[in-house]
Amino acid sequence: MSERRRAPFGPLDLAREGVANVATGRWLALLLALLCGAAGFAVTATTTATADRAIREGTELDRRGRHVLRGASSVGLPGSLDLSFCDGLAAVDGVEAAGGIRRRDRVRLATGAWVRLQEATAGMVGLLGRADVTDAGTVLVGALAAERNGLRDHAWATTREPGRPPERAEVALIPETPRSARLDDSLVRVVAPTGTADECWAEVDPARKAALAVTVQNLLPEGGSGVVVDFDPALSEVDPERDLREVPRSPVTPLGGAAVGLLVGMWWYARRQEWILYRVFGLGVIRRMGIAATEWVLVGAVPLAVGAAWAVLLAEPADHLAIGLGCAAAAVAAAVSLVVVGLWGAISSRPRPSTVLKGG
Amino acid sequence: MPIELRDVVFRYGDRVILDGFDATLREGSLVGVVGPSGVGKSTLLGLMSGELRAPRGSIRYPDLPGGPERLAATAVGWIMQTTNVFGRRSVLDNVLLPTWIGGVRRRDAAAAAREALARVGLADLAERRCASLSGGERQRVAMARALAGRAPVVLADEPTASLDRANRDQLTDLLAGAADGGVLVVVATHDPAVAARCDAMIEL
Repeated sequence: MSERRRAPFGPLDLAREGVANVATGRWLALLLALLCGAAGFAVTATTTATADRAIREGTELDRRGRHVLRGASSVGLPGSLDLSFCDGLAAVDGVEAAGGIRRRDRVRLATGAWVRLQEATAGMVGLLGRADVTDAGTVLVGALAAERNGLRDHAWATTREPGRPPERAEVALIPETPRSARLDDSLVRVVAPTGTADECWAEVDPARKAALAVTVQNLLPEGGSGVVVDFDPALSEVDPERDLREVPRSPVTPLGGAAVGLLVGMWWYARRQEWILYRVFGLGVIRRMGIAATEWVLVGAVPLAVGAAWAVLLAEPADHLAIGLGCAAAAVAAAVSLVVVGLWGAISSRPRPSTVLKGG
Repeated sequence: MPIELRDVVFRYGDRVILDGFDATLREGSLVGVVGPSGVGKSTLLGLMSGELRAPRGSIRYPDLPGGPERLAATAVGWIMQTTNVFGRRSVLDNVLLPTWIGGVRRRDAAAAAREALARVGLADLAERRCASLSGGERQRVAMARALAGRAPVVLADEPTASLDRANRDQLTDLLAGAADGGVLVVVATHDPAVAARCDAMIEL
């Protein structure tokens, strides 16, 4: 007989054995891998899509001004507030930007067209998306008014008001946002914070919305009688942040993980006699787990990861958070599958002695 | 390698399988274990291999320290009634696996496996998948596995139960040949033809 050199059956050999088991059952292993990949895809696609939808919804609501506190006369009385008060709100802790606006009479442009004119502080202009425009006298123009009158950014416009000399001012376009919709057909002149205001706006820290509403109300002169301070109630009807917080609690994730675990576990159970042979050949529990782990990685974890990556690529989420949540869901699903196969392995590695002895 | 069993007691629940069982099995012998189904033939083999533990009595391998539970897996070659092999793996893989697991370098384990396959007449089938073999060929694969591992003890549980006469005779020849080569072969069997070839009998 030939001489034999000793070499311990090490981790690489265990991995090689796992690979051989997958390779020799390639069609069934491929089918299982596809199913595990589908589970990874489903878990990640669901999570990413839900998170992405919530994030987009939140962004859109932000654009529409859900965190903008608006103060105005409860009966629509003009001039109920002061522009200086409105601008001064920016100094309140938790207020990120603030400003005021007031309506004026219509003005005539050089083209002969009549356009509504409003006057706003630089803070208000910032809230409308043109924080770069701070010079008093600059005229901002809404999208509709710009289109009708052929006005562009950095152009010069001359306005005529009854009883006042013509005024020439540089034009800045107001970006089209839901927040600026009411100003679509208006000119907005940037003014110093003096005189009356029809409305105050204050964009506040979302985490302190309720408290700041009370604070601002209390800051109003004479207790703010006749002035209502509130957020746009229509924008508070949905809570995308709550939807986002619910994403990690979705039952799809553990169900997907359990499905992967059960698929791999069933495959092992169908080959239980092979595991018995390993045991009879002297492979202890830890080393059998090494083979099983390799098989789980090849048939369960890698396909799950590939399915997850594919789901992220297809979903094209706008925010990294959605990608992160999708990947986290895939990782949780993988962990759940590991727990399930671990339990399964613990059960199937303790067969009755008769099962071992009869080899079945 | 001999085995000594002294005053061995084993029960499944209330059912007594062995009660004060004594035996000394000598190396180089083919020992038959006979008796009706369910009497405890497989259990006795399990106790010898260390798969089962007797609550009372002793099972000793005088040439080795400790009882059967301390045996290296390669010390015992198993031939079971069914499901003896990795069906999807090659014959060679099946034969070399326990030797390789036992710590012999894979290349050397493969060489030993090829030698053993030649001894049982399966050299030409080394690369075949075990699932494609007949029952008799699979039992010879199991026999080759025990030979490749140079197991000093071979435990065979009803190895000829599903074989035709020719295959049965061939396997019995191999078992007897191993015993002649110094291996202790213990075979649980219902088959009178196998029992007739045994050097010693344990009747349960």
